[in-house]
Amino acid sequence: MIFDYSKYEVKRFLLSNLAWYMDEYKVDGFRFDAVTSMLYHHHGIEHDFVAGYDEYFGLQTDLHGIVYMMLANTLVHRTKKSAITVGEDVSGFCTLCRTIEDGGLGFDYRLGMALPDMWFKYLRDTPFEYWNMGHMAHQLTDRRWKEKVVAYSESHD
Amino acid sequence: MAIQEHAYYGCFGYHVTGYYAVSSRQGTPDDFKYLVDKAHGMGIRVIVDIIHSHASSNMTDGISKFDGTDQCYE
Repeated sequence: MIFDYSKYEVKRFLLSNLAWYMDEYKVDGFRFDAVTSMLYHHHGIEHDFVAGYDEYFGLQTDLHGIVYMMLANTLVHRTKKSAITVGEDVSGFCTLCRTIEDGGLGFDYRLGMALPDMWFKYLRDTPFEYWNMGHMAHQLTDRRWKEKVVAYSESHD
Repeated sequence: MAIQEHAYYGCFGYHVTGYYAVSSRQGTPDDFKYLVDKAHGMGIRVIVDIIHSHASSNMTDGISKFDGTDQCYE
């Protein structure tokens, strides 16, 4: 079941859910799962992103999903100033980590999902003498200007 | 690994059935509070994996058809 973010009940239900974990359990932030699915009506399924702006902004973009994430990030950071939010997006959506004031989605970090994939492929499939340092350096530095990225090395995916 | 309650273990916690419940497989709500307190005491911050993109399609134990219709949240 996929949420319809245009509904007030959905926004109430999910925003309250964030407030609940912060109030009741005193967690310090959230790693939002499957942000790509929330950004687009096609949910990123069977879609190869090539980082074109027409892919990010168009009729396929779920504006209600974007508004929900802006509200969620506003709520989390207003509830606790030092809170951390991380967005799991594979589409490379621009403004993911820009501030709400700048018209961004307001996440603090992007989850660098290409990196665990890269380490996995090198370690499993590539003999050491064939490791491509140029490719490795590109993957590690391939990010939007000033965007903070969680560069992790192991993923359950 | 997500912590919200989920009926199907093989989904790694991504087919959420109970949004406000900490998964009973990993302990009680008090256990989780103890973990957060201990982490904070050691200067470690706790970030929770949260699933707000989709829900389990289960009708009886999930929130699909929560109000009897399939139009409440989707």
